[in-house]
Amino acid sequence: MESAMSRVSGGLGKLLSRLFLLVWFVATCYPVVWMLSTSLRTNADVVTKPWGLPRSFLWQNYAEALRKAPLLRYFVNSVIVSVVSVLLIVLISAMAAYAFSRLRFRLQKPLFYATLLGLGIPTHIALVPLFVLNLRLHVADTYLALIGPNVAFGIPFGILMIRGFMLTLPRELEEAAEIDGCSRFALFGRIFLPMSQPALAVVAVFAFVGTWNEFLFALTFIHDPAFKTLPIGLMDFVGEFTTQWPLMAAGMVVATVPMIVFYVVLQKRLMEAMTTGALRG
Amino acid sequence: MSTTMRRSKKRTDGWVACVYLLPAFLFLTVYIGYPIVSTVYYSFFDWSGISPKREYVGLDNYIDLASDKIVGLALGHNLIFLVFGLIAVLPFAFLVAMLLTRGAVRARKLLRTVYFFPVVLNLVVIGTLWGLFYNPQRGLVNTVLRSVGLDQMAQGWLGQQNTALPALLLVSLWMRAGYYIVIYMAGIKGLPPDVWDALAIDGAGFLRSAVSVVVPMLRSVIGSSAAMAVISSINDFGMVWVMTRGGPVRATEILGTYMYKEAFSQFHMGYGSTIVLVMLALSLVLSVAQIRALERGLVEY
Repeated sequence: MESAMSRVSGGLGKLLSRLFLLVWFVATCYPVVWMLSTSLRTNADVVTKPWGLPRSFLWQNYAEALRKAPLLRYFVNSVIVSVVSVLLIVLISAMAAYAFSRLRFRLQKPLFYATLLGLGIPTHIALVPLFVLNLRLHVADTYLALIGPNVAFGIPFGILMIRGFMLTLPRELEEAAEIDGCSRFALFGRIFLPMSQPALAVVAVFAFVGTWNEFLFALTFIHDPAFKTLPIGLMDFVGEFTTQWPLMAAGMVVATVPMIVFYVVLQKRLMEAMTTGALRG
Repeated sequence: MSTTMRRSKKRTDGWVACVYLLPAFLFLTVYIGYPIVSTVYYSFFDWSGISPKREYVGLDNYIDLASDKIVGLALGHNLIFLVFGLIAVLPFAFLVAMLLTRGAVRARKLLRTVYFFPVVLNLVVIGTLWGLFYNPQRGLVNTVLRSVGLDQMAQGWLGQQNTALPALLLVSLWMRAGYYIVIYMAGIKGLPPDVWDALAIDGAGFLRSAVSVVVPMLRSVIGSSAAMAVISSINDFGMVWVMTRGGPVRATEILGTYMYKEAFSQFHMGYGSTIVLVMLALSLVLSVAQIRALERGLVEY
């Protein structure tokens, strides 16, 4: 082990590998840092030296960004759509996962595989049919137009994850509970749901990142600014102020800060949630 | 009495299962099942999607599709993203993961955290920021080029047909590498420690040993990451839409952007539906392999 490591660490190799990692570190950080610093500069300053260091801390850019576009409205819409979608995804996936892992019924296998197929369906497929359906049912430009497809495309992964976890829970659990006269419904709510918490957390985090950044449904189904979520609202906003970089940057920071906070707080769980599918393979 | 009870208990499972599965299948049916069926149906029509007039055209859309040069072009661009993912993004991520796990590096966790961040960053923010970097007049790329005297190389990266696609490929590396870095790091850490002892005895060079020993040991992780890269490259949309909308001309057109324009800018919803079916067919074939891998692994979870 020592010698394999020393080959990397020894002399030139060590220097090169560190340099390489450092360059990539700067490359990943830089856009976000630039966005933060630009959001605090004056437009004149950015026009003359777009890539220079900030010489001012101009919080007015934020006030102006919030005044010129309903960013807070978009923010609230995003929160509503994401939170409702995540809650539904977790609950509905857990229920189905319980049936697939703990109950016996006909068509269990084919139904399970049918849900798994949902993992491979491109979201583009839903655009035309749901666009038409939304118009007919008058749900275009509502939260439901986003929550519905978000949930449907989120639950296959949720079912897969939670079922896998529930399969590992010991049989004795439900036997003991059944002897105590616990109904099947109480069994799910009082025992399986709380015991599956680690898997539920993974699904919730994964679903939150997905729905918070969701772009395609929001682009297609929402045209009323009152119901736009952050990604599309932000796209309109930066499209409107293409020459005012500090204003654009401030708008982008407003949209990004929640994710940065979420990431800093939950980074380990988040990385686990996002990559767990690939690692189990 | 006791026999009916036993039988009814057997039936109860089916009934209870119905209750538990109902919400999931309600959503899956309305928002995925129904769209698939009606997409197939619409693909036989010439229809704007809005007007009540809907003309049955039989296989015309499919015939158009087969001779549509733009479909071929878009598919080719999807393929470029796919190949770039496999030969650039994944190997790059693997190299970073190896150096980060095995090299003498400080602040390993911090680096991993930062590398991963683009994965959760909003596509609109990523696309907008990179759009500014590529800006012809004030962009970072051109500013840097001019500052080192390479003025003649400064150009409108996203506005020219020959540079737009490579410019987007670089962004896709930037935004996706972190995801695979984290996956590979976990895979490398999960290897038994005597792998590294064996490497030491062999005296194999670091990179050679990485390729000849570590890669085969991680083949299931690499396989599923490759499957993910392939599927995501077929369904690409957001980043391209935000940065170029498939342009200039058709230089960065992919199936997702072409379908979107056909259905929602040209209002050829029938033809748009036909294009979606190509995407569906491609991703279904590819996902079956991935689902198998996922399922096999998850039982151990």
